[in-house]
Amino acid sequence: MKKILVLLISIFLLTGCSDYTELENLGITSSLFVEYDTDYKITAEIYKDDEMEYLKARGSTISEAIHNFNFESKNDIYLSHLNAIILSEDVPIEEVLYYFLRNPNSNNNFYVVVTDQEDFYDEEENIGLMINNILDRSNRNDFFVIMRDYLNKNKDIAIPFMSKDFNLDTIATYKKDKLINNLNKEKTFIYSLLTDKTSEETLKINYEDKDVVVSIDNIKTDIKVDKNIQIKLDIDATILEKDENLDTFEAKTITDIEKKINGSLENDLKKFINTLKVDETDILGLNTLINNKYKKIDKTFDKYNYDFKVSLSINKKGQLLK
Amino acid sequence: MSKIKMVINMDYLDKVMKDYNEVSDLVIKDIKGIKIIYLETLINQDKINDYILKIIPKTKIPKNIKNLLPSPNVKDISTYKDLKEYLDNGFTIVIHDKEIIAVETKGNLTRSIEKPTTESTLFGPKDSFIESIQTNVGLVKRRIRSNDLKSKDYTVGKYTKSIITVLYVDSIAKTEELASLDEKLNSIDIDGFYDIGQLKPYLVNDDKNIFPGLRITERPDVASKSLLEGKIVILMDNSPYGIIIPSFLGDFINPISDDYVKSLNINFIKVMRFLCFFFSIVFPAFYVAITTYNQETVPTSLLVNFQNQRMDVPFPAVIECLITLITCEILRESDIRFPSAYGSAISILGALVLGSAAVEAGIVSPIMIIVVAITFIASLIFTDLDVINAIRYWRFLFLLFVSFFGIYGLFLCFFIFIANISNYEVLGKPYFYPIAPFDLTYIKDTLFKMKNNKRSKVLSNNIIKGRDI
Repeated sequence: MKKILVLLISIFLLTGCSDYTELENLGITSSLFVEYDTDYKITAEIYKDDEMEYLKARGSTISEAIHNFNFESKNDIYLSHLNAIILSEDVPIEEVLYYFLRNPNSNNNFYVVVTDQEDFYDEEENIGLMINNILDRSNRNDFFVIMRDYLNKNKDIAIPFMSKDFNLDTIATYKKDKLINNLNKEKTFIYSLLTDKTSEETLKINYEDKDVVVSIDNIKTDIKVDKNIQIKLDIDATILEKDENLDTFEAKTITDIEKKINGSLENDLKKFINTLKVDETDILGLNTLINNKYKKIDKTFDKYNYDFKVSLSINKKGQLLK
Repeated sequence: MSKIKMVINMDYLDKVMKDYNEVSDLVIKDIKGIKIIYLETLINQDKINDYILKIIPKTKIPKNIKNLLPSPNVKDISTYKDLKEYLDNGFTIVIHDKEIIAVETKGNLTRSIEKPTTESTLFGPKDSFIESIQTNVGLVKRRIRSNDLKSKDYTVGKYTKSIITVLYVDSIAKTEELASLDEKLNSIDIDGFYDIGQLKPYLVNDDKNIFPGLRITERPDVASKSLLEGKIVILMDNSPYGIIIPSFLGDFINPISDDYVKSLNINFIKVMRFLCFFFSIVFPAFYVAITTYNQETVPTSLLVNFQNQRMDVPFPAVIECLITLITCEILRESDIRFPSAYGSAISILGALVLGSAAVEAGIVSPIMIIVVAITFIASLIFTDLDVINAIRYWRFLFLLFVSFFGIYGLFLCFFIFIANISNYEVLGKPYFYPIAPFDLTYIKDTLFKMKNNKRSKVLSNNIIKGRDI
């Protein structure tokens, strides 16, 4: 009985948290900017009073660089409140992703972005938080989702791309850990539609020389692998803005607008898939669908032909139509 | 035979004179051969005049004077022990011929019935127990007008001879508890009691648990409610409080005032009060845990805010917390001990001057003042001093665990806390009742206010309220 008691007490008392740190000794990090030449060069954006403080460290590995922060700062680098990790284009992404996956002291709901910019940090602006808020609003993949995609051997990853002036409306596609392409805004929009990641997205078309803006309320994506790969999009939308001369009480007008948008989206879908085929980057996980269907991948996604079907339905509830 | 009795009576008189040799308030009067003995400090002179002196005939004195005396309380005395007991209790001893009697002539040494001070409520009765046991029993009997309300007297204390009255409702209370209590009270052998609070350790074994196993009340309505639940109420002469036994943890959290307010509204307060109970125990420990071990659990903006506030504080968070808690405990103690006229000055000095000065001096952070203030405000919901002390004990224990193990320590200590109070029994009843063991019937009466026509099985065999067995 005594032995059991000693064992129980030991289990309870020796398995506690050992990472005691006083609050004032924490360097609460908002974002990390990782660059790579021969070594990793990391800039940490740290909260300091009402401003942000920036520390730089180098190392041959990520962990060495982060460890070297201890010689730069009086505080411990604290990664549990990371908002974003900003990677330069030449960073080997695998090492970065695995480091943060394995690091128990880091959170995993921060965003990862790629950038071609360098001096974007500003002492009076919390850049990490700003990136986090923008990507959170636009419903982009966070580290956890990117990591899940990365660990799927039949799928490639897409990471938000930050261009000048913190413009985050495009994505960078990777083939394993190598950056392949930076998709433009239109293709990024199609990617969002196909991955059901739209939020507050709008579509603008020109109908009979009059502008119409529709907001997307709901999307249902259906991708089926057969002889061809069939991509079907069912979209519920609402007219948000229209030219004053456009008569939307006409049922025909609404049908025509729907047809025009369908045609336009199908065309964009085609261009998007063609780009993926050329780049050989499967960011949609099409190879996984092929594998699920045939239990093997004889023919990769870029060898398939595609059928596209977009059915956009404008919400007419409460409207009087002629 | 009558001569022998007379000799014994005269013998008693000599014994009194001998035993009360240096008792200055002893008065012995001889009026026409009638000996009148009393202790001046305990009696009411008017009662002696009305009940004894005025009725002694000026001419012939009859052999049996007992029937002449108009007092409602006249006792025959057969032994010298009885004589002493009555004399010490404010009776006047009358010795005439072969007759020896005690006439109740107690002086009114108690105050009048006043408002409750420690259990005040907005609504409900405004009377409270006083130092007279007869008045206190009367206050309860006025509420339970039934011959089922039994009162059993005990005299304890070698010198104080304190009268203890055990009240219970015969058709509701369980007999085994009464037997257990009877055994405990009969086995008390001490010099004396001067308040009912001293009786507590003789009734329950408090060694295993810091929480009080019995409830002290000054309210007759609380005592009456408990009696109707099947509990036992103990009153003691010279004490303005009664003891309710057995009492459970839930009883301390829910005051009687809940019974006088609409149930829908009070259930919210009851839930909040229960949360406050845990809050007042764990809040400082929780704050220390999340700021020293588990910072990842705090939202970033709040963590940065906490960090900015702690920048100038030279002590670790645990020490800072201990300093603030101990200072507040000192303030509370001085507030209780100091005359109430000065009390407010101390509160202002402590809360305003000391608090802000400590922050400005960089000894503690403003957030710590807020944490401790909220903790103390939450604990003010409880009026029983034993509960407040128990909460403080656990608060410091939680802090100790947290200082070594963080949030893990908080949960570890919480398990110990639950195991501790679940293991405790009062008169054989589980202390954490009605949560463990779970009993919806009693929960409807304590933790919530719900329609309930049943009594708890743990407390009574007479389960249906309003039914005779």
